[in-house]
Amino acid sequence: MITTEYRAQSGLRHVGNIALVGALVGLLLLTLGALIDDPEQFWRSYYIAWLYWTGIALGSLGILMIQHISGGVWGATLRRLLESAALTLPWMGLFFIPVALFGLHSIFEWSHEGFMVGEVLSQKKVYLNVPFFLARMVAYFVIWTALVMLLTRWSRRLDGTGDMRLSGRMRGLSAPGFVVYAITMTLATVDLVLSLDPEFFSTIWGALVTISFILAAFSLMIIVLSLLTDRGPLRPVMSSEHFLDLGKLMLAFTIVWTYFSFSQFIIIWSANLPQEAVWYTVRLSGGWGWMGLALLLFAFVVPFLLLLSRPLKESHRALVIVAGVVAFMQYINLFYLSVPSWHRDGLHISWMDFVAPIGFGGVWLLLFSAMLRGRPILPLYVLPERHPRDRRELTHVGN
Amino acid sequence: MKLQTPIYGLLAEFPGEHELLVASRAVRDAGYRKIDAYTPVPVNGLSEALGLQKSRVPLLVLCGGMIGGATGLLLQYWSMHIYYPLNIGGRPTDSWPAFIPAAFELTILFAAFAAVFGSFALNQLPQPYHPVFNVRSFEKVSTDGWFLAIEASDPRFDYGPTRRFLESLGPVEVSDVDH
Amino acid sequence: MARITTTRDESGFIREPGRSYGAEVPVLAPGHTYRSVTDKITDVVFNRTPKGWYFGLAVTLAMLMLLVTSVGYLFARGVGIWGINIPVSWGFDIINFVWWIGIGHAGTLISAILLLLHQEWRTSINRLSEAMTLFAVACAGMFPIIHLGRPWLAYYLFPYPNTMGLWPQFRSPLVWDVFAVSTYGTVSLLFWYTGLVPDLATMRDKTQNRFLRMVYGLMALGWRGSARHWNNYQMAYLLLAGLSTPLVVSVHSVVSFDFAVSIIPGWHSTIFPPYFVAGAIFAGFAMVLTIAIPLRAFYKLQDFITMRHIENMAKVTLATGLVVAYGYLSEIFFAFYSGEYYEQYFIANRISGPYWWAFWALILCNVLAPQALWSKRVRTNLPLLFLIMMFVNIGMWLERFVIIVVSLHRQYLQSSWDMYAGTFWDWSTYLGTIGLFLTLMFLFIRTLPAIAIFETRELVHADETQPEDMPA
Repeated sequence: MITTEYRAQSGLRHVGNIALVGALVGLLLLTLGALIDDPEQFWRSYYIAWLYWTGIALGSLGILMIQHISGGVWGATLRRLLESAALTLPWMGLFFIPVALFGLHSIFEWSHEGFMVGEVLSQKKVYLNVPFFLARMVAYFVIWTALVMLLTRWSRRLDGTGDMRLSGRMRGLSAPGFVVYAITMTLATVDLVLSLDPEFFSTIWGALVTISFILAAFSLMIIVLSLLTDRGPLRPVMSSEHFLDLGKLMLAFTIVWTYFSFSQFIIIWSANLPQEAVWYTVRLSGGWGWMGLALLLFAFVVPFLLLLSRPLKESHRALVIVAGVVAFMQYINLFYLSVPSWHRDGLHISWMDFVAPIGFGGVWLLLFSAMLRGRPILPLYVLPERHPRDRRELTHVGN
Repeated sequence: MKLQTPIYGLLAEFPGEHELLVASRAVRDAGYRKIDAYTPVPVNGLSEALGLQKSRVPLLVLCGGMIGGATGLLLQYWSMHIYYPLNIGGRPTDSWPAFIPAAFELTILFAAFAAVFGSFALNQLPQPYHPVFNVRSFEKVSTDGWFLAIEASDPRFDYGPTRRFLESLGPVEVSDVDH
Repeated sequence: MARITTTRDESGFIREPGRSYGAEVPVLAPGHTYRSVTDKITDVVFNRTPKGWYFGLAVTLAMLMLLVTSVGYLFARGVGIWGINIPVSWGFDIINFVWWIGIGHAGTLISAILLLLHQEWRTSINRLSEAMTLFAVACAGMFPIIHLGRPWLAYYLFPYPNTMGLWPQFRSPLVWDVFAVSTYGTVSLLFWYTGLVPDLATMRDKTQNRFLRMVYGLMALGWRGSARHWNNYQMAYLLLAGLSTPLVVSVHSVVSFDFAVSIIPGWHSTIFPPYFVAGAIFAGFAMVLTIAIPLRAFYKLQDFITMRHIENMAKVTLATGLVVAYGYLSEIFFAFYSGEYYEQYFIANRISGPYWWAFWALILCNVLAPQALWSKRVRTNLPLLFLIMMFVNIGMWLERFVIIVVSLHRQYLQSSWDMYAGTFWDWSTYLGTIGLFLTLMFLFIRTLPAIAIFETRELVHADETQPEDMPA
């Protein structure tokens, strides 16, 4: 019998300190950049970093619902982390307000009155205009927040009451919930990322960006889980088989991301239609080409080969390094999808692109650990009699 | 074929999987090496009990896959870029994105060949004749029979003592296996 | 605060105790032993041939004759006997090709992906669905070949050194297709056969007939269930499953490239690869259910193909159907978003053009009808489920009709607009391949074990030694 307090503090306390420093320093330097360097660059760096960390929250929401639907055994230890990550969504939404008020013109070409002219672009004004865009943003965040709130509230009530009907209710919401999620994510990724180049479109876009968010979120969750196993309360619970399963899933998500990315690339490359091939021409020439190559190598080839190894997946200390690389490369992926639309003549990286994700990462981690701290880190289900044959390895916890 | 031993060996049938596992371990611990077990379903832990090596199929598959992928890429690169370059729709002749699908398929094809034919070769199949088939009750092996064989060519094999040893392990019956 | 109790299974996973892992309905009816399982499955082959089987085979053979006649006439007269024209130069043949190959994909999915995911419920349907894959690929592979003007020169498609010094044009998705489909056919055959080997040994040992013993014995390659054999065999089987999974995705992606890398509105769409793959799985699961529901009733295999199988397959059908619906929506949305005339025109033409009926029938069959599967009552009502699956079978054929014909018949230039309709020979060839498929199915059921015997024995084994509520 092992008795532990299943709370996150012990594992995440020093992470909280680092996050606080990161948030303060990162955002301070970023603000300094707006004041003394280039306000336009400030908004762009701010936006990409915000998008990445909001994407982590969105990816977590997606994984949470997939887990409810599929009921995979890998999910029970991950659920609280996913719920806490998804709970940061409404707060992350608040950080979009400054962009909406002051930054739109620096980010979206289509927000300029004089830009949307010509046969194609003038048609697009129906959809790409500031009031409609802002209304959609509000709608997305309301819908996502509602999904997160329902799922976490039922989960919390389940902790208190042990009423297993709630588990069924969460599953019941997740199936149609995921349909809503797929639709809103498609529209949102079009609005937030695709529309940075107002002329480009690609029907796989929603799936492509959503899987990137899911992959980044999943990798980050593996890192957190590993921290909580190394120094914290999950040590008696996690086993190498568990990490093996998570590693397999990370491999699967990596392959899916590569598959979607390659599908879009080969179709546009082969058809070679001028209006869309130029999107890749920008991204394959000059410095952007090198970034694309780095993506191919470090977002696919290296993690793929490493994750084929079973011993690596079983050792969480090794897995966590791969997860870190994958999560970082998905930031590069988002950068690669977005930034070349602003700088079509070649690679452009500002010092603010480094401090912004650190600042937002700090903010996000603070929010995340605050959400995590309030609740037990494992779902509390107290019904062992349903599984009489499984008694040989029980872990009892009480306080 | 010149036969060095009067019989192929001894075949013991056991009532169940558990008994077979225990017996396999005992036979191995007694120092016999030319042993094999025959079962209707794959049994967890039986390979370890018999002291078998880990399967080498994964290595073969890895090699097969790499050879297939390299073949695919080189074939396309050589035929499209070097041997007979043609301008098709203005695409570059070394159009690597377009070479990926066929190379991928060949990777899978060669790896699958390696998996199937490699595992057959490692199992020395096809092998229509094998002495254990001479034992009448052996046809149960594909339904619910659990068998353990010790070959007569094992240096420790000594008909009388080996037979008594097998009988001490609680088999249903022990049979001589003719060549 | 309440006490926390977590429960773990053998592999150390935390389980949620209140959560069902689908174990309430077993994958194998209780009370079976190794022998009863073996007997029950081999009996399907060894018992006297039921009269219904002869009747069924007679019908399908007649359909097969129709195929032979149609193809013979085609070879004599050329592709002019079909309804294809310019601009609709791909008609029934490519529709049927994509339809068949899509059906094949569920087989690989059930046998490979579900094996990797440790979904035990696959066991009693995997053999059947692998056979389905193989026969469907045989039907599919025929179409591109007979669609060649000179089908006897089909070997030109393969890369081989020749006197003309020419090589296939590797930048063409049609050549990728040759590689993908032939690899798929070969690997499916190997996978199916590898899975059969231990069962062929069972058949060899069970049959009373000397001749059959020899035939099954030859096919079993001398399998004797040795620990060495199992050791390599299991590894090879698992790796084959691991290889088949990306293969099946790549095959239908390559099929979708046939359309997507072109520049025809309605074809050139980046969502095509995943959306085709989902459509293939959707069609395939519908077809497995279409076959499994009558088969299990006819041969009384309810112990093996339980309601749990049926329900799980219905759920997969619903999920993939939703992905397909997402594909349709996404095409419409992006056509609107793109602001491009031709993109918007092709959608308008689909919805309200001359083939509007095909589009709306497709929506009814593929989007609306499967929504009934949200209800458990529908998923467990066999006649109703069968009906919905027929809707899906038809819907997936219509989907390819809409993609191929409706996109082609209105091209960029009005001068190349035309209508298309299949002729008698188009329909007879299509019906004929259904005959080929069913004939092979009937022969398969009578000659080989339609359910994987040794894997079902493993289920008995699991029942005896482990808690039956293993996580799904």
